[in-house]
Amino acid sequence: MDSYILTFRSTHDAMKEEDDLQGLEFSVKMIPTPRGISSECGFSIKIVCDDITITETLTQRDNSIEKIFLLYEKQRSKHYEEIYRR
Amino acid sequence: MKKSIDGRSLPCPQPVIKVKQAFDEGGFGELEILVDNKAAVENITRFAENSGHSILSVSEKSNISTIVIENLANEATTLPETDTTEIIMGSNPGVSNIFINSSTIGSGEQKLGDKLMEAFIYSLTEMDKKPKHILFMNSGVKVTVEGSVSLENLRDLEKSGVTLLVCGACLDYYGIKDKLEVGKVSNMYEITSILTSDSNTVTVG
Repeated sequence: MDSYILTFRSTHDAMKEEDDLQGLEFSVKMIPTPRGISSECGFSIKIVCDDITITETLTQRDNSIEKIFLLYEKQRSKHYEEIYRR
Repeated sequence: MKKSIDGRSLPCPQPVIKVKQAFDEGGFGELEILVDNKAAVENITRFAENSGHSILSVSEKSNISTIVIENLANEATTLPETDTTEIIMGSNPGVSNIFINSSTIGSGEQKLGDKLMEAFIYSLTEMDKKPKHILFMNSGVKVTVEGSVSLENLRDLEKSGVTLLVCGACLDYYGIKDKLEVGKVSNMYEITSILTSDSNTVTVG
């Protein structure tokens, strides 16, 4: 399973997106924005799924996502690769 | 051993995700990826370098680019990166107990308070130094029952050795005793004993 972090411009955007993503077939969780990511908003959304078309699924609908990061491990610590920017 | 990925016709960022998945699986020395657009070449080479691997070659023929990456996952390189916050925390004994006395953090709009509690418990799972106990009282017990968004994170904390103690009288008062999903039912004596034997407690709620 791959993990993705979605960042937003505001807490309200993050909360609205979390509500909008309910009911989709992957795990959606609001988390504090990881320290390795720079974002204006302290809240991010973590998505866990194994569908590589997830970026399209998320962005080809009305949304307020600022950036999407792919989580990977390097020497047992977490790193984030930016894979989408609005 | 060499592994190949055909990333042609895949839109960005799918080729990068495939590369990441291949490195997660491992079991090869070199990874060859075919892609048909410049953005994918840039994204893959940047990701490979960021994640500590080495680009052996990038070649292009009839608009198809071939990237060959050396898998350096098993090489002993530099120490894991730590930021200064963690270094400061490393010289600190840490907090022994966290006393959660509300299902939300602070006063204000409940929706935000709920999210802050969820985020706080998630951040505990990410900390190197974990508390010994987390004590739940009054509406704080609602964080441990069926339907709580924090159950998975609390289970992770339990697995990493944190003891979760939940006020039985509080569960009873709210009529949710049979809904407890994580932690152990406790009582005022046990909770008071922990709070008084170790003054190193942070209250959240």
